Amino acid sequence: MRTRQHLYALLGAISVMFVTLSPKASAQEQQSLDGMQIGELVEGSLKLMQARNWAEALRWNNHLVKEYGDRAPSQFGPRFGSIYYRKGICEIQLKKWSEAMNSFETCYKEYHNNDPERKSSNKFDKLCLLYWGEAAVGAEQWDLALDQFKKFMNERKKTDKYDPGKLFINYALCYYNIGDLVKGNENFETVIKNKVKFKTSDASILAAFQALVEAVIEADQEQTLLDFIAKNRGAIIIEPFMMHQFAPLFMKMASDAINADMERAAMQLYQLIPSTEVAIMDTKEKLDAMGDLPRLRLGSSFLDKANLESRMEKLEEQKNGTKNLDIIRLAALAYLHEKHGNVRGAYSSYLQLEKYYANADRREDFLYNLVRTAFAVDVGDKALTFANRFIEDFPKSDKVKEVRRMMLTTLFANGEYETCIERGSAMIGDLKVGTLAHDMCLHVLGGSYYYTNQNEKAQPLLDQHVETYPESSYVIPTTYFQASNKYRLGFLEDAAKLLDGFLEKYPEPAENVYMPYALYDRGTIHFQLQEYDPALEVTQDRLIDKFPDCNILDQAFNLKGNILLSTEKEAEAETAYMRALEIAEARGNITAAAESLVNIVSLKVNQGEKDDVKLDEALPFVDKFWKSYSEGGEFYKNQMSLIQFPVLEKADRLQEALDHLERRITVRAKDPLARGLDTMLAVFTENFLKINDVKALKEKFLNFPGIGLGDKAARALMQISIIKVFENEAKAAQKEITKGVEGAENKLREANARVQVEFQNLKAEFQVKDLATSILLSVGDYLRTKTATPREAIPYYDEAINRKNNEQHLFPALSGRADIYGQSKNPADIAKGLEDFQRIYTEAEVPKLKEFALYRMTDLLLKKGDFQDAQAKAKAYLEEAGYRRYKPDVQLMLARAYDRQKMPNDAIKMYLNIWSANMGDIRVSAPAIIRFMEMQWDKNAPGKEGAPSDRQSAYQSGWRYIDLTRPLVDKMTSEELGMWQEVETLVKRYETNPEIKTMAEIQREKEANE
Amino acid sequence: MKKLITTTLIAVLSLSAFGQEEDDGPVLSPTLLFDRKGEGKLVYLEAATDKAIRYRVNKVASSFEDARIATFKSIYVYDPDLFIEAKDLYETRKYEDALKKIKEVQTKYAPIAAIVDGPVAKANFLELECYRKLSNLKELDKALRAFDKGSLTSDIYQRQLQIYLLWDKLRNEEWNNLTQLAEEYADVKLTGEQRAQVAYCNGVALEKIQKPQEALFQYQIVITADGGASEVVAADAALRILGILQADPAVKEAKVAWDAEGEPQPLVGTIGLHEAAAVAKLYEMSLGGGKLLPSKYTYFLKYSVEQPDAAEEKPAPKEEKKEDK
Repeated sequence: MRTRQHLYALLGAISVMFVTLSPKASAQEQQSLDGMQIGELVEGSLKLMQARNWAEALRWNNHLVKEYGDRAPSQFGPRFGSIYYRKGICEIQLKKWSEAMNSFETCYKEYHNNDPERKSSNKFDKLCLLYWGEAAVGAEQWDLALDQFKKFMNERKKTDKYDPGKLFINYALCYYNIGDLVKGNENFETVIKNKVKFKTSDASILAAFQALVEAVIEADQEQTLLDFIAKNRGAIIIEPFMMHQFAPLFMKMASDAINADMERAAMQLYQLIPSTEVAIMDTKEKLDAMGDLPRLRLGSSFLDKANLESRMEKLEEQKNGTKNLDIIRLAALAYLHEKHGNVRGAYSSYLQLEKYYANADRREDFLYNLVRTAFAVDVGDKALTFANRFIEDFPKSDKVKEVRRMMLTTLFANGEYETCIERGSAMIGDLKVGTLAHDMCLHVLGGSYYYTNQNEKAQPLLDQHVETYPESSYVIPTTYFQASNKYRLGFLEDAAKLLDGFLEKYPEPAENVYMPYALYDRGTIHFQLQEYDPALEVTQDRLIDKFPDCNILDQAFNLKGNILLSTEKEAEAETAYMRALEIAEARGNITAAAESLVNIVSLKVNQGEKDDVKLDEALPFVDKFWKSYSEGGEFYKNQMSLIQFPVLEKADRLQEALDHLERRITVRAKDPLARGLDTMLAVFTENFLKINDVKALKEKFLNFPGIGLGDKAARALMQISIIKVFENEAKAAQKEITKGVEGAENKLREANARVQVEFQNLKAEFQVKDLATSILLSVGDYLRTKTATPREAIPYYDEAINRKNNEQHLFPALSGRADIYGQSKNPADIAKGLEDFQRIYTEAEVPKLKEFALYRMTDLLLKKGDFQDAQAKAKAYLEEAGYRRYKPDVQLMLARAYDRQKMPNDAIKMYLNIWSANMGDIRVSAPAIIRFMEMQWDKNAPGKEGAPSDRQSAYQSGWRYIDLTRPLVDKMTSEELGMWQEVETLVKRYETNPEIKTMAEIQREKEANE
Repeated sequence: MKKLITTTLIAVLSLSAFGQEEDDGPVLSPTLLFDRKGEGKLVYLEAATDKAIRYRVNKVASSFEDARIATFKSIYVYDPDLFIEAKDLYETRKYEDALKKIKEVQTKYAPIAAIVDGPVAKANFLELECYRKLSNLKELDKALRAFDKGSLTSDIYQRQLQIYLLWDKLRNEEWNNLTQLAEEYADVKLTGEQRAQVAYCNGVALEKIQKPQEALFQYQIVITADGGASEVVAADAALRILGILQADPAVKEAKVAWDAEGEPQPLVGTIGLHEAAAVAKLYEMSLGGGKLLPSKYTYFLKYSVEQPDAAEEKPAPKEEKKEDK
């Protein structure tokens, strides 16, 4: 359906003709025409037409026709044709096209001019053809119109004045509408070329242009329009004050062009529209020019002051209001640019809309699109600013959720994990499972907990994501987080399986950017499980060799150093640490450099026990750490403060080491739980006393820098450190007594007395009821693990357990108290310990705590002699898939339970499992093989079917064990060495038995057979 | 006093003799004069100084009248056909032709050049714009120095005169000053055409001080601010966008991945690659003003993709009735 806009323009042009005849006349009231004479009627109708009162004028003309029409040809002759002509003009003005055509037809056919001079007869008999054509244009009868125009041009008399511009425009309109673009353009360009000469109105030109655009769209000939605009741009761009009123029409044409996939044409059309500001300037200029004149002719147009003022008012409204055409144009451009993939172009458009047209009706849409495109083209924090503005300004918008989703992904990418947790937690409950939004939110929330080390909260979310969204675009990071988080939770085997699965499922480094991190975690797990060969294989072959540019290469070398050190390759370990340091320094990775330096110093300090030159070698690394890398993290600062003492002491800089540690203690003391402070105080005390006495230590602790009366945990631990000093003095005195040193007994008495006094001071200064629960735990743990009087800790634990709302501290306190009771030989105490552990096992939700409780219960039951229960608990532990931490110990307990219940076959089988699977762990393998050998020996079944006898088996097993573990002797603790030597003695004893074929004999036989 | 006015006007009139070899009489410009009471009359302006005018009451009047400008509330000189033709040529982007026509206006109407907001003042301004459009900054500078900044009163003209300072910085390659100056316009509501100019100058400066990514955003404003109607800067900005993206390592990487097919696409580089493809296409469609896309950028066209999530709807402004038909 074609618009009729262009016709309105033509009508405007016609109206001009009459305006030139007469100034605006006042409207005449409708009056009865009956009885009026023809002369009076003709004169009246003319006046009405001059006054542009078309409806009334038509009524008068109709009355004339009605009263006189039938007899007019005979009564008035051709002259009456002018009545039909004027009637037709009125009908055109009133858009009564059909009636107008009839009027002009009557004028032409029935009232031929018979006056050769054309003065007194119907002087419109040819001119009416022109208007017949114009009425046909109005009626969209294009062929008829063309015929009439041609006929007019053929028949017209010289006296028939016409507007050539308008006629050519009408020709153009007709041709465009019948699809003849060539002839349409010919006529249109004739007008354009003669625009000044013809004084063609701008409205007429725009009417033809609109017809051209519509014809082009219908005929799908975009190029024709582009060529036309390129050639005639100047003519189409009319004065801004005028052009702007046609802007909606141009917008419409551009929109039609877009819908017809003629985007080039659309863009050209948008370019033709002047900005509102320019239109205002031009309108103001015209108004100024008019002064107080109501109307003013300007070229081919008339300016109407009232209209201009009204237009100015509307333009001002538009400029500051919501319907500014610039808004529509910018929005359309945003669409076009984004459609073609120029998202930054769309962003720029929306940015301008937000910045300069923030009062637009559709601001919500525009701002949303600004947010959307800003996130897409990565404009940093600006995207978040826009998003926050959207949420603030349109809190009820249905797009708020989507904006929050976009914000979340960006916040996550920016590493703003705490904010992600805050916003993601608030969002996730409202999101439907299975939607993209839920997928993203779950990923971000799980990932944020992971990155902030809130691993217990992270795990269920990550597990859920991996399970629910296997096809998610976040599946790779989430699967990695899931595995890595499991590792951080301490489930090494589970994490290992997940990491192996992850590396197998996503083996392409280009696709899987988390691969180096996964390999690093996997290598670390192998290392922690003492699987040194695979640890080295993963770290060296799969990580360092395959990803030489990865950004954790320095950390990988540190891990490699740790692995090599564990396999006693100290020189190679040092090389690895040095390489790690080199890379970290080159990359400016302060944390990795700090780690490397701590590793190097630690290695050299250990070596320094045998060769103190190593301490000298460590010194530059200590200095480098404090000079350049002490900001690599609190952890490494604490580590270096503790390990550097031998190095600085040898360099005669012990006070410097004390100063470093003093600062670390001050910082650590601010931790309510005072984690690690006990070790720090122990090392500080030991080294402080090397250059000071106990009195000075007490003084130091009393006035320790940065530790006030409020730092109760730290102060209590300091008091305990002093107790520990006197306990050590007591121990030393005890040894002297054994050796018969004179005066040792006095020393012992004095030391014990001081211990008592200091304990009293502790209790007096730190009343359990006054201490925060966390401090109760710290003091309790210190007393339990670091002093000779662990039972002194019980009141602290009791208080912590009995307090209300103590969920955070309940289980550690129960665990501490149970541990103390468990160490007792008193069955009642053991029973109390069992009770506490049972409570932990039943009530705790954290798997680690439950596992520990079950392990300790098994231990206590065994100790208590309740072997059946111990067996049940041990089995329960070993059947729990996730329990690995104490597995060898619990296996040993189970074996012992069988053993004590006289279940030799079960016991032997379990002992065999233990020592063969954990040979390197002398702590469990040695006692296991001892009992295995003894029980096999006692069982004493003969060999059968080629298998050796029980005794031969006992001997051979022991011999092989000794042979394989001999390289570990240097690493064994004295306790382990004692047990290992016990195995060796047993082997030797069995070897002397004549029943036994020695390994030397077996070897000789084997060689003989070969 | 009248004698003094007459003498000055005669001097002004003598100027026009050079431009009117073929005409016998003086050039008479239809002009509306409104006195202080607001009463207007149509006269034919013959000469003007900054203080007085000489006019005839009709075209054929043999005598003239002189009057002080201060006695009128306003003086409006109808745009002569010659100026309209110059404007049409300018709008048709035939700037050289327009300049010739402007020279004619300046010569023919030299006797009334002193009229504020008059045809010569407008022609002088159009001359500046032609030089800007032709990127002839040297001539622009020259013309600007000769331009009487008080000869046009509209805010838009005055703002444009300020914006020429950016072009001057561009001509003198004062990049840091230019970016600072451009930033001052950040919150000023300009017309689309002026916004495009400021962004263009800023973009070039940012590019010169090695901030190509920031320049990209400025160039995108250039090509959207007025829909590319500022065809000279829009076309150049589009090519500069393509140049920056072509040199961007991330875009190169994305191109390699795209060509390899099946390779995972790097996100940032791929957005840049599609951006380049889109701008190349838009250059061919409209921004290039009919010029061919330089061959070194044509390969971008094959990376073109239509965005499925382009703003939710096509623009479809309601058909609004025109006012004042």
